[in-house]
Amino acid sequence: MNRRQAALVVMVQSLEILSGQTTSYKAKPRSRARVLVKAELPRAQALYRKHRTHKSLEQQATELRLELVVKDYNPDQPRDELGRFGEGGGLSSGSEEGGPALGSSWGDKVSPGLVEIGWTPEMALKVEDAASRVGTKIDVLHKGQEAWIDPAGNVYEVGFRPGALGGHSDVADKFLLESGEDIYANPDFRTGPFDNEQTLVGLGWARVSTYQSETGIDHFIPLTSLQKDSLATMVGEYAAAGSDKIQLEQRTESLTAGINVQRGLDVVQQAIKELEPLKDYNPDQPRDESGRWGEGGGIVPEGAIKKLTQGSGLGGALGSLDDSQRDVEFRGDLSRPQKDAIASYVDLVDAKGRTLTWDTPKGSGEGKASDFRTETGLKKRHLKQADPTGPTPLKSLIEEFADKLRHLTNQLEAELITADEWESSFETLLARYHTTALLLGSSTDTLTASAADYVARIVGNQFEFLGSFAAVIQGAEEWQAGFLARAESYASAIKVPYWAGNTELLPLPAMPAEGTQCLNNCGCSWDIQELDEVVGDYDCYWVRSKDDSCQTCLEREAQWSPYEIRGFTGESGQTESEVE
Amino acid sequence: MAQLRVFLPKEPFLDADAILRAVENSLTSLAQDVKIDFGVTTQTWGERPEFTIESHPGIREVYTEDDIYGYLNRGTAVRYAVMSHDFTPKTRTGFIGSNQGSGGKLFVSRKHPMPGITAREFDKAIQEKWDRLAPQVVQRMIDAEVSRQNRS
Repeated sequence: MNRRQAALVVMVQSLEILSGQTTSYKAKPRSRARVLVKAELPRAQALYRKHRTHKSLEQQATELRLELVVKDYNPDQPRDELGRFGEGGGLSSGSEEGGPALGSSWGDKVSPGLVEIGWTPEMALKVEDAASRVGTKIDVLHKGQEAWIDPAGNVYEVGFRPGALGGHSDVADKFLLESGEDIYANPDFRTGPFDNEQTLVGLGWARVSTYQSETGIDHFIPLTSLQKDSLATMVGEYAAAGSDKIQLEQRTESLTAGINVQRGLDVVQQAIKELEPLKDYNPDQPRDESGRWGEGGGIVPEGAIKKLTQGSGLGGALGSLDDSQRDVEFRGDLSRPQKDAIASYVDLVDAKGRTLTWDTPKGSGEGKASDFRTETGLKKRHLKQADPTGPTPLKSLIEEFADKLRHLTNQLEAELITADEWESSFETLLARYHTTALLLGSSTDTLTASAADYVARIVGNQFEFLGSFAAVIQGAEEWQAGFLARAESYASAIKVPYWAGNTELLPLPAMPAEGTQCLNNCGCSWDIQELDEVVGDYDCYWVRSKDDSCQTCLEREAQWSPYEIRGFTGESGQTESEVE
Repeated sequence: MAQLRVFLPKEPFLDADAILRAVENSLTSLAQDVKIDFGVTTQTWGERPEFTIESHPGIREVYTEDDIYGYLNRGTAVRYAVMSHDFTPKTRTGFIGSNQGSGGKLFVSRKHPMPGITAREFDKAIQEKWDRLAPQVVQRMIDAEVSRQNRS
């Protein structure tokens, strides 16, 4: 009996290969698109070269960011009774006394590669620029109003001061006073990615954040007793400092809110005590196919390792990225965040031209990063991460495109051009910027024939939308306020060709902003992990940006982590088998 | 699935095997996309139905055997489930998504037949969506095939 209650069949009914395909394609918008894509290619290539420099700057800034935060761990650094690093080591947002504000405890306590919290390179440069203009030196990047608690209960404050909830950093305050510009008001500044937030969460860290009078505590996994102690203490501090609203959220991996308690210190502290306790360490705990222990495992700093092994224990592989001993040391299998962290660190060491020392279950050794990869099988990481505002070159291209569309549409509103001229120029810009986006994504100024066809296809679709829009404008009795915004929204559509180019034309089922509820606002990306270059095995992860919570993106993140492509350059060349 | 045509690049030449690979990869991709959207329609459900992709040459079938999903998708002539007063459904007709909703089933009684469940027609909405987007997915698979040829 057929029990299928709902089914959709995707099938090929007939396959007809036409000769002279290009001329057989009659659809007018797409024919125009093909012509325009070809005609606009030189301009697109020039634009590509211009925006490519942004990409280069982004890479430099990334290196700068790593340089700024990576410092040797010092186990003797003084701490307070809560296990926090004091002034000079902590991440206070700038002490009132003018002490070593913006210290370096992230670098001190967190393994390199795990420290890129909440900062885009642009934000880093803005803050550096701001600091230099007001005569303040920044030793390390920081982000305000947030703290993290590691599994050992150590509190890492990130520009957070219980006595000044919601306050800006001293740098920002000084900058505001002297220049009149509030760097926090800049949307670029506020909407940085939490690229490694999930990495930290995967390692068992709990996050505490405060915004104005509201305190939120998120924890995604069972907390250790040490973490719970720290949380309870911090909640008391927040309440004493005037926080009148305390919210506690327990989340699963799918980010579903569990406990949500508001108001009442006693209630929250009690809730913390009742949170699911961390299980005792069990070496026989089953793992998934990736070798993960599930919740609770992770690379932890050496100091934390000591506490953990003496305390209640923590499942998962223990790792060390300590310069004074070995660069990379781990036992047991690694989770994906762990692999990512190690790959980032190895890349950094490699970029510095240093040799690497390692001690892993697959062997110990010393040599180049490539030797390490060969011996351990840990592949070079594809640094494709979701920035909610998009990668820098894409972002700058979208901004420039939106400016052009705004200018063009303003001309139409002022009746300097006719509607036909507007539509024609609009189409030219669509062809130019979509082509540029694909070139930028694929990091080449050469447009292959198939890539040109792909761009023509999606540009042709845009022409159809534009035709409807033009009809609306021409049919309107008067200019409407929404026309300009609607015109500008076309700029975001170039995300699709960008990501198509960026994923090296792998047979991926969808691109960011393609078929998502969030439409062109999609900030997701693909992270491609090359497993075997010769055979063509790839694990492709849909990486959702922090600001992206549309249901399509959530579902793709859940189901496509990873989306497996196997044997792409081999005999079959097909994506994974779908018989489930 | 609607009829669609895609651009075949003149250079490099793609042989029949390559075209078939592109077609199979297109079907796989579209089936994945469809499965994601089915998943989206149940994202806020307490007990989520499982969707399966069954694969045969030239065909992918995405389906569930969950009875409740079938009732909602197709609609019913009569409803025996008695819902609470504050009940608001999580889904609506033609919408590929699911909201939080409120309330729920109190009990089931055949003594109290009530107007049937409105058909949500998820499958129809998803089909319409991917009919529209399928050409660019298929085009991408052909481009991927060209890319593959260049690599190997």
